[in-house]
Amino acid sequence: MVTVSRPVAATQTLNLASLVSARPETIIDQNSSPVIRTEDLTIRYGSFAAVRNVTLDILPKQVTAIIGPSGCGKSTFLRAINRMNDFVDGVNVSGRLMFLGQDVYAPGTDPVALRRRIGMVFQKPNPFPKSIFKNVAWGPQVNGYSGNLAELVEESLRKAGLWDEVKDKLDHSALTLSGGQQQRLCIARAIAMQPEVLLMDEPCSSLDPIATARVEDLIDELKSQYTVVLVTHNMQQAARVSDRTAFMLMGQLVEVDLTSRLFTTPHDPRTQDYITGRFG
Amino acid sequence: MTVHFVHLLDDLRRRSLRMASQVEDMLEEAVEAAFQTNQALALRIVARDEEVDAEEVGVETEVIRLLALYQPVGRDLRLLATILKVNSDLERVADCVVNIAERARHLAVQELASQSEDLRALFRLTRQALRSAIQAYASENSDLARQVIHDDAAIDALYGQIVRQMVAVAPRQMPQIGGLLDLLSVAKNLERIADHATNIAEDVVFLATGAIVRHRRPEQ
Amino acid sequence: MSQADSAIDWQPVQFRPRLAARRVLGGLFGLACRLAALAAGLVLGCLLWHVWRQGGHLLSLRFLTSFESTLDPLASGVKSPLWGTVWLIGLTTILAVPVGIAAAVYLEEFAPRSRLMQLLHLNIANLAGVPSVVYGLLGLTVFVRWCALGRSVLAGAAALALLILPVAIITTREALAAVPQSIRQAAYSVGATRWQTVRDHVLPAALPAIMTGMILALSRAVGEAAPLIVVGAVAYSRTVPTSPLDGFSALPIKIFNWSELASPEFVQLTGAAILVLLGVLLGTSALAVGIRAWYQRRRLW
Repeated sequence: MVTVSRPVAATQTLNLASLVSARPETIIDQNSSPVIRTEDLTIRYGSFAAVRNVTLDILPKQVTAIIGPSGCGKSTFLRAINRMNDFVDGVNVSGRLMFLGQDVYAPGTDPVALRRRIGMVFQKPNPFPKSIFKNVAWGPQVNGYSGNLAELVEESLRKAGLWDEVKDKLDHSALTLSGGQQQRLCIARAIAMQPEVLLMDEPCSSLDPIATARVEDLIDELKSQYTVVLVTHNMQQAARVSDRTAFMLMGQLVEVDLTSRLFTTPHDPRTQDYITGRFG
Repeated sequence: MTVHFVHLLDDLRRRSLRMASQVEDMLEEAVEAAFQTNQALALRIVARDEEVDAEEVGVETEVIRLLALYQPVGRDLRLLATILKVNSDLERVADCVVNIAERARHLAVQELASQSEDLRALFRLTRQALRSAIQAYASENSDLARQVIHDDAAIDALYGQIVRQMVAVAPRQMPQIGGLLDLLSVAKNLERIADHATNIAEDVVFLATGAIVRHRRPEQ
Repeated sequence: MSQADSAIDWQPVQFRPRLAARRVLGGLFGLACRLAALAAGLVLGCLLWHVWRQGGHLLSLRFLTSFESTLDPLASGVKSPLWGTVWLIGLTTILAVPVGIAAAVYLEEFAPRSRLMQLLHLNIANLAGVPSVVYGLLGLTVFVRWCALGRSVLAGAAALALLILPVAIITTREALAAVPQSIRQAAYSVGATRWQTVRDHVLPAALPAIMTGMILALSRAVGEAAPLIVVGAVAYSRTVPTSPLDGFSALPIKIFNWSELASPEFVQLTGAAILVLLGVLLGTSALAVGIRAWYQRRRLW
């Protein structure tokens, strides 16, 4: 038996710390510049203020969860980011919302172009009543995608963890898929646009626990490439999946912190009461 | 289900406090037995230790059950973690108390103990430390807990002094070496009880503030 | 166990189910509905049977392909009015369907939701109830005279198109509104414009319902006689239209014309012509349903 010994370089030192902190969630750069920043954002439906003076930073390549009781404004806030609120009558937005340093609500901003870079996944899976292929390919097509569409569809479906299940039936209707598969298809559809940010509005609400677990695993993989903002009323999900968590109550941002800190030592007593289920 | 969980958590906390109070009483009786050679008392302490052991297992089981079924977060989680650790510390204190009580069987201790003012002082400090730690645990008072942590240094110093004294006296009192060793054992156990009290205090600080303050050398 | 338990009153609340009475009432209602349906069917059956008895024996290929004969009434055919009706169906479809769909798409998908738009919708709904002869008068003035189309089948079709436009717009709007909002939101979320969303998702999804609405509207148009009379369709003709600007006749007019004449031959002819008109209506419906079914099966992704 031949043993080969590798020479140890004289300058090589053993860094115990790097061996110990192998869990990715602890290696978060809290100093990177935010992808999305809101300053004093207030959103009104008529006279009712659904979001009040929210100042929040969304940091890149992380999952930021927004939790809070029903009606606290978290979905409204999320939809403001990609201007989906534009389709609701009587919506008034004040304050600033910046995406990569540009004001999203400035008069010259094109919401269609914005939505190409910020994708969205909805609470109830809403695939188009078309083929699986068409579902993923339509967005790129109408946006003038010049590359190989079939490759893009395959890549997106692979990233969404759906390729193996549908590769033989790409021309079948998307409505023949199960709920969990449909939701992953919607995620594939969103990431086919190669967005920078993925907004997810309670994506697992209508899924069974196994489908939920798969989507959560998927979110965990996606964060290496995309910035994810996740609205959820399931606190355990926020605890499992996110790196940072923001707690909203009655339209206001109560607290935002690293998930591990927020769920062990929250600062605000309202956060404490909410996460321990004392109300809401 | 939260209302139910809150009741369960409350019951568990009270159970832990009852155990603490029991251990405190045991310490009183044990030192009394040691200084006055009360055999019957010593035996009773051993019996109570068995109760404490059983209770320790019961509390730990309940903590695990609550963690599994209710997945608590925030203060509830810290409370359960604290109960678990204090539980274990209290059981060790009870064991130390039993060790002290067993020394009561030897008359020699009584003779020598009555001479050792330092030992009485050590007992007073230890009792105070344990009482304060449990008080801080009951009221989740982190200031009181920090005081306990701070005062541990004095107990360590006093113990060191007792050891040095014995080392100095031993060559002259060789025939009573057995008694001296028993005395040393009592002192050692008292010092260990004080360390456990410090652990409990550190856990209380964690419960109240979320900060882990173990293994820190307090600045002198 | 807990304090909350004692706060709930566990005394059972008194119910009076009256199940027997409710069942009887339900049964009665079902029976009433069934009787109503039967009555309607019975009436229709009677009418058809009566018409069939009147003129069913005259139905033949010859009847469909020969012109009217003044010398021998029973030798008359409905070729002219039949072709007139066919031309009318074709031209009305070409005129009304695209305009109707476009208007509905604009009103439903693009127009802002303002009071003005609500007023507009109300007006369209009212127009659907305007008597058809008014549309005939409108057609006479605008298409026959101002547009100088003369008494042509195109003018007639234009008048009919105006007649059915309000209904077409309303049913198309409802079909569009029935498409779930989630589809639109999904399309917007991948960075599509409103038009792309409507073109590729909303319209295809609404198409079956739109087609049903159009079929119903067209069926109404096929049976109209009054506006055509005003516009200038002729009752007697020995020609068929060869271009949109030709004069024309139509089945409803012929039926009306024959029904006014008392002699027994014309009674038979009336019956036969009615049957032909019904056949045309059925044919149109069947064709449209067939197209819809084919479309749904093919599901043009």
